[in-house]
Amino acid sequence: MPILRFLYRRLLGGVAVLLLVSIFSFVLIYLAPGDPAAVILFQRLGRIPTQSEISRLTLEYGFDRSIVSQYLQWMLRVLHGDFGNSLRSGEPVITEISTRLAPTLLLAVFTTIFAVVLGVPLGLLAAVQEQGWGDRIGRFWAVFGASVPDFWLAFVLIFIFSVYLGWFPTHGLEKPQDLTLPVISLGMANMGRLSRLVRSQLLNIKHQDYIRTARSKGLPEWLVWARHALPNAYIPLVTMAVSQFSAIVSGAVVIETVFALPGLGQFYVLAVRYNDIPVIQATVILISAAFILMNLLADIIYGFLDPRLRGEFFYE
Amino acid sequence: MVRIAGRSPLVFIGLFLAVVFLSASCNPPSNSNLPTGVPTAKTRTEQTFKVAIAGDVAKLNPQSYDKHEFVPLAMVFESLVSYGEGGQIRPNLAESWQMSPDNLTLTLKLRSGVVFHDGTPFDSAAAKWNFNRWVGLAEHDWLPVSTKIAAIDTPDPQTLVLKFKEPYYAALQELSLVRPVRFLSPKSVDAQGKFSKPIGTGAYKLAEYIRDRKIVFTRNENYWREKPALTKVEFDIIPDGQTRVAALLSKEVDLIGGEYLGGIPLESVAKLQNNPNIDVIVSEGTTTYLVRLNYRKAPFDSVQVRRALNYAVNRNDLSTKVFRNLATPAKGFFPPNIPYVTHTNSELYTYKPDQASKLLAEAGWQMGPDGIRVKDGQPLNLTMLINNDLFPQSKPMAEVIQANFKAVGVNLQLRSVDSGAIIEAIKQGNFDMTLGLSYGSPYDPHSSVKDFFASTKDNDDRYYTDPQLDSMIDRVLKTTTEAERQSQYNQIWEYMDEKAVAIPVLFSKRVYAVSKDVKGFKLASTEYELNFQGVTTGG
Repeated sequence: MPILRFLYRRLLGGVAVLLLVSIFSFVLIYLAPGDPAAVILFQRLGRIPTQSEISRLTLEYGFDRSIVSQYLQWMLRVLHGDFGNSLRSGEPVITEISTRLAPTLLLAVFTTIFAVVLGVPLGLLAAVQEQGWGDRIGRFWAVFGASVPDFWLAFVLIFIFSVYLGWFPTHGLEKPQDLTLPVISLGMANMGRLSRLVRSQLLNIKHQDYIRTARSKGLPEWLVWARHALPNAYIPLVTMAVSQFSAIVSGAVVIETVFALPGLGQFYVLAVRYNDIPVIQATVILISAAFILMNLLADIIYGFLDPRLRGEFFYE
Repeated sequence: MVRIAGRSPLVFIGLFLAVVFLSASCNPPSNSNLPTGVPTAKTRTEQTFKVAIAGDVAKLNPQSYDKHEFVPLAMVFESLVSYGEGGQIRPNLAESWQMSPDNLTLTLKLRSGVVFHDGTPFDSAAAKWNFNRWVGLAEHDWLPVSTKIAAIDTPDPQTLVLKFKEPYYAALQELSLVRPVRFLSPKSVDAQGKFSKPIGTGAYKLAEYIRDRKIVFTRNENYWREKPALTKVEFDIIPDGQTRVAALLSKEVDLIGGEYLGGIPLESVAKLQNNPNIDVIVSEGTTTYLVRLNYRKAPFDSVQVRRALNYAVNRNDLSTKVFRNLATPAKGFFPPNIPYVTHTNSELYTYKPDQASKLLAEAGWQMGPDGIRVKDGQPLNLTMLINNDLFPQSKPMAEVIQANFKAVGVNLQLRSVDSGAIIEAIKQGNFDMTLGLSYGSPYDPHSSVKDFFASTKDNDDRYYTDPQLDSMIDRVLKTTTEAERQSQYNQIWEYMDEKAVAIPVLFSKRVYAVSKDVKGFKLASTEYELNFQGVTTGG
């Protein structure tokens, strides 16, 4: 089965990328100025730690060994499925990450749906009514969405819908509806970019011969757009939606912090501030893996959407 | 933009409806482990108080250290004595105490009938077991009292005797701290003696903890003292300051503010003060914002330069422009609500740019043609390292100081660095200036004096040291009478002012905002605790 060979090759490449990423991130942590033990203690104690406190922690966490030996030891444990314990909480990194995965994934899924469901029709409307009202409304929303910073929008939404109207909580995630404001804040920009993309793609397609042919054989206008124009804009749309999804998984830091969502982005930033090396390493690997898998998924979707791109799977 | 703003609420509502529809039609993945509980109706006797806290707590172990744990720890765990206004030491789990004439033996009478949440009695054996969890251990040696106790005796269940290696006047003050000195039930550890559950004698016990979301405490119905009216205290974890304000405005929480719970953004305080449903409580704080000068390096090795820089800072500008009056100009190293500090014994430096110029000229720094002073061909270029982890106003503060210095011919560069870099720079003495903060009550004055100005073996993170100050500090810590102590401290304050050992800039203020539905809320005597006595909520 060529498709299996294709998957196998891509996944193998992915593992190599993960290995490089883990080395790179380990080196970066050690290149950062300052003693890692001192940073951890400073964050814990809220004051400059004493020399004896620093030496004790350095010994405890093995920061006195060479970076190569520290990396190899870490790698060895990871190969045994052990990502170690968080230096901040003492809990296993796997537990720490898994409890924070759900909010971030939910946020990413809903935001992507929001962006696609609103962005595609908006782009379509703009293309159909080029220079007309639809185009103006579409363009307004696209520019508004893409240019308004997400945290600003978040606070505007909080003050309208939480403080004045009381419809949503200002923070936290107790039920799925609580994601409404975070999703809108984060989705506006994605929606704007998607609708611009759809519009420009459709405007290119609009003047193609096959569209004229479809019209001339008497197809109703909506069918011309739905069957002949839109499908040709799917590929770049998938590319963008997938990259937006991965970007949210890798760090909706600001939005997670503003809405106090117990997700991965907020957790990761805290880990960086605390120099929580096992957590930083595990999160970097997880995020890279998410990127690799999402790109693979995009490639597979391309194959389904466009038969011309299936070659790679079937004719190798 | 006006047209857009006028239209946007309608469009927002449209968008909102679309999303509600979306979230209703898409079921979240089943493994999302989101609780789907419905809020329970409040009964009349139940009183819930909700507090915003900026970060998650770790394990509520009184003998470990984590940034946001102070206030929750203090609800569960109690100390032998408590710290009252102005540093008065009051009875708590210890009813009374007696210091021997040689100041080496402290005999404490423990309150009878006190039990931990698990029913274990709090007696001298339990107390001793707790002392052994921190006394003499390296992890806790930052706290002087942990290195001064030589032996702990328990002649009877209600008597605890602490024997000291040398007189140490601040022992009782340090026994009022939140950690590591408070008492944990001897049954709340595992077989290896490792902490497992937070069980103390306090008015509240831990009822529920959801990581990164909330910490819920319920009232200890067997509390030894008058029980607070609040049956439940809930901490909502909200990292962002503006969101904490919004949560208070939408009545999701009843209280925000406080150094260790999470500060209120200064720009929001005035808005909250104008809100009829909110009470803003502002009171004098106990910490001091300081500028650290690298005293071992030129030009700060000159006392004239250090004094000149003290005169050059416009503290009123810092207070009004940077802190919107939510800090007061410093008049000495410590605010007057710190023990042994009075309004008169520590008031030297005010804003006198002329005096600053004069002193700099005397130190040999002559005004150069470009407005920057020069000595031996070297221009007076200084750098201040800034790090926002200590307090968020670092940058604007540094900018005001930069402008003040410019006016007297000192060219100050600002450099933002991360916490690792700043600690390293301080430890290696590789910096000119940084900003810092004193500890405040209940630690001061002795803790900041000792940690900032007394030399140690490494001596690498001190603000300033010299042999004379060392011996003065050593003497004051061993004093045995109040009068002696006051006179020693007077000399220390005078000496510190004379040597201009740092630049005290501002005294902090304590800022809290509480919903008007809450009655009887008063600040505790330190920032490390909340005072629940007499507090009631509307619902």
